[in-house]
Amino acid sequence: MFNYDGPMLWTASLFHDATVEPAQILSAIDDVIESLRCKPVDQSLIDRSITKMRSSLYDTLTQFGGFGRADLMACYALFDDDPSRIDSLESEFRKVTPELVGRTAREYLRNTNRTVLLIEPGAALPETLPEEESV
Amino acid sequence: MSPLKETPPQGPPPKPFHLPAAADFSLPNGMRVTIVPYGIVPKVAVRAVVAAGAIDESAGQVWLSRLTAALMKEGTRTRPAEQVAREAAEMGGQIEIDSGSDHTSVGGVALSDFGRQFVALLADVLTTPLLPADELPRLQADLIRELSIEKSQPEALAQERFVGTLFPDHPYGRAFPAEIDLQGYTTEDVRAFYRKNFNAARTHLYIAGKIEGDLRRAVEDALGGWAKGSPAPDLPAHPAETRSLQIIDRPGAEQSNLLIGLPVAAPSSPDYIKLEVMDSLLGGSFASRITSNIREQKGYTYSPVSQIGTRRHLAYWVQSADVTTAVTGPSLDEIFYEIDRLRNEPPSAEELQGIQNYLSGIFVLRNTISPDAIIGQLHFVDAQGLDRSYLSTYVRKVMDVTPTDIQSIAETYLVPSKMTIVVVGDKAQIDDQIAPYETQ
Amino acid sequence: MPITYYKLPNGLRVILSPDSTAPTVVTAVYYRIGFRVEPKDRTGFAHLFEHMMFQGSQNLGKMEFIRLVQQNGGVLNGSTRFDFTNYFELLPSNKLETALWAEADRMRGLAITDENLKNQQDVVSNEVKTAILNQPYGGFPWLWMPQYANSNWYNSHNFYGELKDIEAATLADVQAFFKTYYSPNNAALAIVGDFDPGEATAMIAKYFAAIAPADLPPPPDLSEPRQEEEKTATRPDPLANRPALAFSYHMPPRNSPEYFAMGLLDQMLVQGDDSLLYRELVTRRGFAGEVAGAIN
Repeated sequence: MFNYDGPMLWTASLFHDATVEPAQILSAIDDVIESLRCKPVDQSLIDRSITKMRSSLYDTLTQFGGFGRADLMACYALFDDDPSRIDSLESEFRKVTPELVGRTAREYLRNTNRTVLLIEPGAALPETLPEEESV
Repeated sequence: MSPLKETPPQGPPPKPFHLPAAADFSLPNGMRVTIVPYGIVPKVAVRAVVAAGAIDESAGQVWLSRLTAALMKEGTRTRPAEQVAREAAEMGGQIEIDSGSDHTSVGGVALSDFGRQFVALLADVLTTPLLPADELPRLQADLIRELSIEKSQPEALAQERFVGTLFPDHPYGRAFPAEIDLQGYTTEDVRAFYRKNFNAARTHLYIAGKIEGDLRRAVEDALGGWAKGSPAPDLPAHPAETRSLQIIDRPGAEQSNLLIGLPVAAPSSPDYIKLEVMDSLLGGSFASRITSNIREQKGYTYSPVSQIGTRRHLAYWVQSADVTTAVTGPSLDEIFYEIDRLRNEPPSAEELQGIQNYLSGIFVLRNTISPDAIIGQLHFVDAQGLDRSYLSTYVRKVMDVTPTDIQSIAETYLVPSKMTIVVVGDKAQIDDQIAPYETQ
Repeated sequence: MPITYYKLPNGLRVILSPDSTAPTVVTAVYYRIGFRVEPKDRTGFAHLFEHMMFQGSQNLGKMEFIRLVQQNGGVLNGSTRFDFTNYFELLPSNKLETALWAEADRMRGLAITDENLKNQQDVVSNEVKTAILNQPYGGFPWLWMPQYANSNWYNSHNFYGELKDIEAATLADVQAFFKTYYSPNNAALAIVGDFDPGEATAMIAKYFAAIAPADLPPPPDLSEPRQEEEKTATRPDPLANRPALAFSYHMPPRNSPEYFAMGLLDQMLVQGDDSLLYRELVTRRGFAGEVAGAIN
């Protein structure tokens, strides 16, 4: 999420079977998202997310012999003229409150901010393919 | 007259490199443990590698090891699945279970603060999984979906045919199950597979990273009580060394996916490191002979690569390339041209030196770049029955290889009449192009 | 960890961050031009251009940059992203000067031929085939979703490139792109690993200080209008045999409090087996075997 400087998207995706309709999946997604939009998030959920984020930041910064660190510093230098921003990321996440999460979800996780992309399979299922040949 | 080119500065002599120190011990129940303190980043990788996997499946049990790995994530006798996931997340990690040909790995990477708790959680999942019947149908449906998707991927089809040809009548050669078999596995099948193949005698626990607290003690407490069980049985494979050309038709394909390879010496052979150097020069590095030819000169392909694949006590060499359909024949011609050239003529000392420097550099990276990379190196050595001195003598052995060694190794091992060739592509477009390879 | 940050008179941003844990060093050069802002009749051009950066400069012939890094015991790569293109190598620590010399050589200018370009057009066409055209779900969701979710061309075109656009590129296009965007005042140089900052500073001055800056064009308007209606698109995939579903929301502005909240929402919703969508869609409903998610 850090090495971009322009409009970005939060995207999730999955593969399913033809026996499940997209509408069913979207309805289940809506239930989960709505739970974040209409009632305050538990502080324990925020705490756990911060722990996961902190762990992930360590991974990012040590990736590939230090390349991950170089990547973020170069981006913050080019975008913000301030590579030391990498040292304040964790503290920015620690400022997030249940109220902010709710407010963000209500504005950005609203359906009118959403694009859904459905992939329609055109290939036959493997069981219906002809015998493979060899020479 | 063009100006003389500058030569790049060489820099000072290299800094010395020392492998991170590994502490090895065994528990009374036979489980081997290796702890490698390394680095300052406060994370620790903990991976229990069990000698159990596809190799333990009978012909009608393909992917039972994967189903077992999936069901092992569905809770323990004392913790529901959701609790395992939540606890691991609170430690900054996850419990991952990956099953492969010869091994199943159970573990993850957590924040060092929680090293001891992570060991305890891992032990719970590894030694007392619930394996609940309720979750089986969902996991079977997931595997059936995965199978279906893999069968639509041309590289997976090529790989299945390649190993199937190389390892007939052996679990290594059975990449895909029949869907009907997969549908038929029961919870009892999974439980029997787990009981038979998962035990302390078959497990080596690796820990690497920033170690905080007495992890040895945590390991002894959490895993010392696991049943010893029997060691993994031996099921040697006898890979095929006969020439064959296999075509899988994919009408309308934009590219042909090629795999060309054959068995070579096992990692324990004195020729193995020479094989690695030869492989890197021929197709295993970006500046290699085959890549320079079919990518950078001719533009036939984007990511050709050769490598040495290993299984328990054996190895095979394989070159892969996804090439534009219209140049399928010419791509094969160029690959075999480069193989023949190396078999007939030693490389220059300069070309070899470049590859030797490359492999020495990669060796340092493999042993420093992450705790999991360090574990990977140690596991390779241990699983192949090699002495740990393999690692401390590796660079010297790479540097000792001569140009004549390279030619001799290529001549001895890369015998075209023993190679398996797999082509996945549009048969109507490529039949004529590859006809010459049918008759050889 | 200590960070030293300064700019050369020609505008090059330099970031130094030493760490002597391993005897290796990363040298990374970032140019502030990615695939958003490529010419409208040349989709995929920024990525094709990235390939050309390896094809030759004044003192390094075709493939010689790659050979130089590998022969010195290193690995390298480059990538074209939304807002930058990067070039980096990971080498033994005594080879920092070699890396700096080589990066400066290609920052100064390319020495390439029509044949080099034609060759890389073939390579890139194969890359697009391997990754997208010959692969079920090839561009799903990372390449295809921005094309549906965004409406500003800069954010919503085919970043990998239509084959005809890739094939239409000329050497003049390549030289013009270099001249416009590949200048020190549009770049950052970051060094991480086992090195001495004082020595590095001297080497950087020696190799980069004399490279002239360029007049940069004004950045185009990249903004997306506020979305007012849910959008749904269906895309047939003749190579796929199972349906797939992706959904996206536009992110809040970078570095805002809401942006950091979205980072945590990503963790809550989709990262890890404890995440809300995994528990609901995978373990409770059995709709899928996993849910992937990311901000990009």
